[in-house]
Amino acid sequence: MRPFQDLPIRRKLLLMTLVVSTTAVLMAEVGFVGYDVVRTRAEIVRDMAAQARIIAENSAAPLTFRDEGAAGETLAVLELRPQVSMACLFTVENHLMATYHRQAGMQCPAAPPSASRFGWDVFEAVVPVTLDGQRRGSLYIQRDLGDLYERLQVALLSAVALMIIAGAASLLMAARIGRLVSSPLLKLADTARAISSTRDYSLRATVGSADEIGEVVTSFNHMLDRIAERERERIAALERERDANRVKDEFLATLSHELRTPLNAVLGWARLLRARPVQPELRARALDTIERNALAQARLIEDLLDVSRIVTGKLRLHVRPVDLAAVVDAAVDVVRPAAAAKQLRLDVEIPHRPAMTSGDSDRLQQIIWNIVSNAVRFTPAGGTVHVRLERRDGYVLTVRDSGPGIDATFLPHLFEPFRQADPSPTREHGGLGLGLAIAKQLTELHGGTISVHSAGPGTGSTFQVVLPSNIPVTEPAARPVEAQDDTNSVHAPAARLDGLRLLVVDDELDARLLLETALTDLGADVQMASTAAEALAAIERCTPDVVVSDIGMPGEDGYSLIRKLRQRPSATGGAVPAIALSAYASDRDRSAAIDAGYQAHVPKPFDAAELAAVVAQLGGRSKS
Amino acid sequence: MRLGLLLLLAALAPLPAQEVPLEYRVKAAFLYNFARFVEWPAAMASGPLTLCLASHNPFGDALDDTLSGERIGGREVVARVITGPTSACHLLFVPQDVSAAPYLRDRQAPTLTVGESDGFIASGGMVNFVREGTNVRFEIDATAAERAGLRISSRLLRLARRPNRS
Repeated sequence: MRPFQDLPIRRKLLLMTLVVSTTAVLMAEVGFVGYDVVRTRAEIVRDMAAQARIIAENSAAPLTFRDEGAAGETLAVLELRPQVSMACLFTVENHLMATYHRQAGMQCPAAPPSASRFGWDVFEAVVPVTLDGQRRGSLYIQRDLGDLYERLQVALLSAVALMIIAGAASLLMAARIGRLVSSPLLKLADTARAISSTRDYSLRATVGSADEIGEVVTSFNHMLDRIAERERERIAALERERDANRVKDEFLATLSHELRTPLNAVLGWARLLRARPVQPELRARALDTIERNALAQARLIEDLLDVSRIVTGKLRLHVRPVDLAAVVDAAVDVVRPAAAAKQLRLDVEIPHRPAMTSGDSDRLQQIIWNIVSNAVRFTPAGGTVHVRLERRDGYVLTVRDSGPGIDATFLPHLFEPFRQADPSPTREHGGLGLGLAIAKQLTELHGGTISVHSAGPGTGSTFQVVLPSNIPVTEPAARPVEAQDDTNSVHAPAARLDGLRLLVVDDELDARLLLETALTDLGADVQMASTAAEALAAIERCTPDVVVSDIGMPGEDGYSLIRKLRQRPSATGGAVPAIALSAYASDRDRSAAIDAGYQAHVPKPFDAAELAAVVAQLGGRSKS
Repeated sequence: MRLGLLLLLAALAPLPAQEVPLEYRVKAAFLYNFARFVEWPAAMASGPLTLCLASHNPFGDALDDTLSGERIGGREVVARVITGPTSACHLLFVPQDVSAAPYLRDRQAPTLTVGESDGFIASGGMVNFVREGTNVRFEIDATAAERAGLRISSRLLRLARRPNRS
């Protein structure tokens, strides 16, 4: 389509220089030869005119006296002019009087031409022969133009020779220049090809010169730098992603395992208890195991929710003045049984009491519990765990153990969620690997820092939490009545509910039965409703002291129920205290329930004592 | 062929006097043309150019025909018959049947003497018609002409046959 454009640059250069040089030579030759021809013609005309004039002059007398011999001799002078092929002398009457010819067989024209003229191969000169101004005849001289053509031929040949020489010279030059131009480009192309086939972005083209081509090569190398950088980034990102995926996969496997383990105990013991009569001692242990495992599972779910809140930025602190020393005591008390079971020495050292600051006491306790329980879990039997709270700038909590320590390679990942030093199924220690991540986030929410030191495996590890002495209060101290999250309270004696009329609303029969049993046991008079409509009707008939309602129900949910109830006058139960009892357990769910009109929110799975305390409080039976 | 040429010449030329032989018509033209190749001394450089015929006119009308209206170097050319030597002639033709001696006596006279007899040059004449076959040619004694103060053009001399001096 475009034959010239698609030629290699070397060919283009060759062709261009060839065309230019030969054209130049050709034009010069044409000009030169043309000028030469014109000049030679003029010279021939001049020369022959002069020659003819001389001959004519000398022919005047022979013509006058009709002396053919003398006339012939006059013409014979032309022998000295090799180009003159023929001469003819005519009388005034145009009779041929004398002739001269170089070669035999040439014929004079019958009459002299009227004027000199150039033919293709001869020049014919015609001059009058006069004597004293009187015309005596005419002289005709024919000049052969062979020499002119010979000259032309020589000029042409030399032109061709020149063109060949110029062409050859320009070819040589173009080849040289072409190599200068194209070989770096070809090398560049080779490098590019090598890179695209081997994907080795460390290859670089060599910069041969500082001209435009050198610039191209340099910018190509710059581009390669950028590509190599990108490639490294891409690979790093890919590895990070793969790593994250692996961590997530491991986490899911761990999660599944961790959720199944307590279920195994719960289900196993529950089936055993139903299958055969058991001794009271074993029964108590079985129930204890079931409860412990169910609590462990609840804690796992709580941790997951915490992580979810942290990730989505929805975790809020309920900041109040708090005594850190008491919080540490409470947290350590929770793990004390576990430490005792492993025969660990668990020391707590708090030089100054109270250690007043502000913060979310539940979350602070969670932080400390996480770190201490971690230490207890990982320290082998007979070891020590030392907890110390001291006041410096702020408060510094140090938890030191005599455990196996932490591998230096894992240290940087210690506080990342879903990370475990040993993710394999054969690992010694259970857990989701969320505790420390949550502890770190909670510490940072309090404006503090958490750090860990370990000299390596076998040397134990030291966790340090630094909290500022004064954490800004972000929420009013007064809060709606809440259930106590504290697992400590599990074994506290439940409040009595004797004489209180309660209405329990739940669509699930199991939940209703459990509630009925638990609350009736505490002395309450419990009525049941399975839908919101049923509940509204029951309240209208006879207003209870407290309503305990599920939130998620088919058809009409707990929110709708409370809104309808709150629109009623107090005579028909519009002001009856209500508790939302729901598995929707997040802060947001709690706020939604309170906003809808409930006085309190208790998350499922509920602790009977905890629920009883809230019911008692709302029903006017609170101790306080 | 040359005769043929002459015949052709004669045929083409106006022929008022058919009785004049071809030879004399040629000689008349030659006579006249000689004047073109000769320079006379200053004394003879003006006035009409006079062509004298000794004793009689052998050319008939041919000479007059040749000369009529012709000028040489701007000068009129006239012909006349003389009966004795005179110095007023530029050119003097002595016919064959006339004795040349009396006309050649004065060697100094600036007159180109033209004859047509064998001894004409030997007896002191300058130009003598001779016959070469059918062609009319002439001999010239340039020395005699020089002696008389005449200068004959080399172009004319080149055409002259060698005078037979022996």
